[in-house]
Amino acid sequence: MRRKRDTILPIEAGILEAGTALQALGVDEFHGYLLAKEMRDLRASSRLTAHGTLYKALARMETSGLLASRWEDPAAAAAENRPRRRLYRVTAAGHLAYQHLPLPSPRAALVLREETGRP
Amino acid sequence: MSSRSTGIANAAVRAWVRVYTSGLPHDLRRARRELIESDLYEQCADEAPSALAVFSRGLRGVLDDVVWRATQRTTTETVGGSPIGFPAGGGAMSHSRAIPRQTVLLLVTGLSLALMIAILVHPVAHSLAIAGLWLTALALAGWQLEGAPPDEENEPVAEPSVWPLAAAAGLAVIAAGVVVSWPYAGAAVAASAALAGFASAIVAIGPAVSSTISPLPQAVLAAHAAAGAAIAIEQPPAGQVSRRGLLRTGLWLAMGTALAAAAGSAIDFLWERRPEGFGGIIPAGTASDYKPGSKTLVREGRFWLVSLTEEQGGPGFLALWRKCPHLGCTVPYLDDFVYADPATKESRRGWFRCPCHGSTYDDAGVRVAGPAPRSMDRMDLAIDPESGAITVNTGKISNGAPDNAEHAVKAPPPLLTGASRRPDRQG
Repeated sequence: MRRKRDTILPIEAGILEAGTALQALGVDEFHGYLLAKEMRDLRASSRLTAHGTLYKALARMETSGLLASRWEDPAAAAAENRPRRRLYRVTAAGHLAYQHLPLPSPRAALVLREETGRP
Repeated sequence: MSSRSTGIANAAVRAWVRVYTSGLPHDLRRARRELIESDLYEQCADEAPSALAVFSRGLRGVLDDVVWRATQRTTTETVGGSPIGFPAGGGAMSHSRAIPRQTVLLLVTGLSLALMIAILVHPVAHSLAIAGLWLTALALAGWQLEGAPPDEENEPVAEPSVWPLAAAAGLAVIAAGVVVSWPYAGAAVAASAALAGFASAIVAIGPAVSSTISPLPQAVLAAHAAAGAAIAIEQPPAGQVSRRGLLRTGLWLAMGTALAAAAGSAIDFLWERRPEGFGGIIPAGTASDYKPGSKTLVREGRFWLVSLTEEQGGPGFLALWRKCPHLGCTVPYLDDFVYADPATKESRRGWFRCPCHGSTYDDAGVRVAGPAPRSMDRMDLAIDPESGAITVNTGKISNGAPDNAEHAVKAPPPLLTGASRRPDRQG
């Protein structure tokens, strides 16, 4: 469905919020699972965002310029015996967007929870 | 929290990823699979989740996976070489109306199956199925013909059209026909129709849901910041349901219906079928209706209801299948036929005798002569002890044997004493 111009979906707001929180903790680049965990904690929910929902939103935000991503160094991954991660970081545009988000109204917070917590 | 069941859940998620990435260009496919693979690994390494947690996480995202897939192109047009791949940036390109091959195949298969089965069943279901199919076909044709030309840059595609809704309505009509004829082919038709509806809904709505992301250019953001305006979070107007939420709920419901119908049709096989007419249980009057020695043809059940006298091996009732065990001809009872039983050499009058090849049976259906391999077959017979009502289960047939008469069912005593004892061979 068509979205209004210059708007952010609630799930994107949730991702920006979690990404900013991770940055405050010192994690500049994060992978999908870490982000999902942070989103879960911020929402005080018990369920992680589904794979399909999360990565679809991340890819969309990357196209919009709110996030940037890269594959991590394969050597680093091989050293730890795990598949390589896709690392995301919040761009300047993303920070700008987040700074201008109004304080979540009760309804927005509700939509935020609905969008990211349930199908 | 067994790690083996979690491993199975992981494998299920991987399998699903393989399914919805099939047909994509190699790079795109590999990138997506690696992405999910990494996530699965990280979750397992971090919190050792239960199988249910992993599975539920995968399941909740299925809708988004399908929509993502629907918006991918088969050619690699990417922006900045991003291997995650996305419709080429800026929203400037023409929006592809190309329908994935698999979806078309699923649609056609589902509708053909629905039509085939519906025709065989109920006449009402038949009519509803035809009407529904017409409606669906017209709706889909209208949607295709409607296709709007691409607009200028950054202008989103036209509003989702009404045709998918019309197609869904057509499928609802088919489903109604299916509900009407439920005991028969209902579940299979419902499943295929729902699947077809789901596929067509995704095809119609998918590109509109997820394509055309108007990016937030820096200039716009800066202008907003300068003006002190807030960037609005998209939220539904007060008191209303958001369109996005409605669509998502609707599509989940469609998928859920398809899955439920498929599961329902499988579970339905656990219940025994109770056929009516031949093959089921046929009532045959009460014990007091029949004189001993009578042979009554019950047409609906295709059996002879025989009341044996003591002489014939009774007293009791037998239900003999009128189909000759030789080659299946209908065996009549010939009152006037005089024949000498080869075993006892005594001549009697009145035998079951097959007109086709001359197989001859006595009053209890026991074979005395002819090419038949055995005596006439018996059907399960029961007599209600209180009312004397006789019921014959034509679905339970036992092979005939010389001991046929021993299986005769006696009527309850109070009725027997009232029955006539005249040894009358005619019924």
